[in-house]
Amino acid sequence: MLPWPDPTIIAWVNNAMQGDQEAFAELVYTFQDSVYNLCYRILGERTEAEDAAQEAFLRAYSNLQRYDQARSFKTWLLTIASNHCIDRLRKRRLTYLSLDEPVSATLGLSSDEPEPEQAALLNERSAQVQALLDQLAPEYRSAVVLRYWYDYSYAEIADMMKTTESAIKSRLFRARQMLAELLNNAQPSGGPVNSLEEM
Amino acid sequence: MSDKKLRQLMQEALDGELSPENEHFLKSRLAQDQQEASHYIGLKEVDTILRNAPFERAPRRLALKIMARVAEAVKAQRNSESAELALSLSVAVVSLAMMPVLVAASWLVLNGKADPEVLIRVIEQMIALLAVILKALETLLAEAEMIAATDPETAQIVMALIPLTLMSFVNYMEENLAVYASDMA
Repeated sequence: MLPWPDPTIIAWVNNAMQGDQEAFAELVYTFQDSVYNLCYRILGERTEAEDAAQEAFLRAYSNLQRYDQARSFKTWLLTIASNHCIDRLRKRRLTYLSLDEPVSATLGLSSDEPEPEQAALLNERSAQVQALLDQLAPEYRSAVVLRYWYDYSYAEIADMMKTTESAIKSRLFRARQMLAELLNNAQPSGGPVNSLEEM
Repeated sequence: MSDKKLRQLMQEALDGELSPENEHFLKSRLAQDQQEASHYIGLKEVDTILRNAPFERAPRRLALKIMARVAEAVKAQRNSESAELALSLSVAVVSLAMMPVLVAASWLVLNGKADPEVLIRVIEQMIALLAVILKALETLLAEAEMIAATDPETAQIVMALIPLTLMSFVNYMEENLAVYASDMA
């Protein structure tokens, strides 16, 4: 993570607040990958992720006056994007799997494909994990994404999601368990890729 | 140690927060319990996959699309501010112009108390005029709102018609009040 405060970012933010659109464009170029990846990982769909990323930047631009410069701009921006994506997921009105119930083996993860080589297995599983992430409730998904793709601490995620550190720990704990059960149910053959030696 | 505590230790191990003592304990427990060992291997696999999942890059032209939307939003904001300013000015001008008319109307009402017939005529005329003014304002505002959706600049011209319309009513009222005043005199 970048050290904060970053004088270049602060200067761009201040200039953007004065109406300098080129300064805001610099912020967009700098953070577009981070925002887009977050939206894609939470929403699981590229077109919607692109639209959500646009909306997140637009909201950031409209609310620059509210940005606290003592905090990281990237974190502030990702908080806006994450909240927006969670709202979008809630509006879809889909039923997500309950984390308290046993996981069904019928989650559309095909086990009929030919068994991949060990090296390719992780890549395939990565696509599977995105499919699995899509099964998680919005708040769990967001916590997993912020933890694994952005390396935020539990305290930082709690701050971003306006909840407690223990709630985030609990969400991660249950989300990992659920993903493990889903993967286990989808396991074609050959067993897991890790061993206890790697603890 | 309970299963719950054991699983808590597994999560700590994944987060790299396990003390050497607990790590040793967890390893020995997992070596003895095949079921818990499988569970931990499953969690470790999820952790590894998540840690190695690729970072998706933004599509080409995303930044351009964002900046186009920002420019649009800024333009809409400016138009909205201009329209608000035009409306405030209109209201200020009309309020200023209405002051002498209202004072004259009050004077007429107070003096017309002696002659009920004149008083009723004054009140009727004023109510009719106010109704016409309100109807005209409602129409102009509805038009401005409709035009603003497609052409904000033309909408401002329509807004500018509001003080002109009101001013012509004010002039009409002033003339009529002068007539009533002379009637009463």
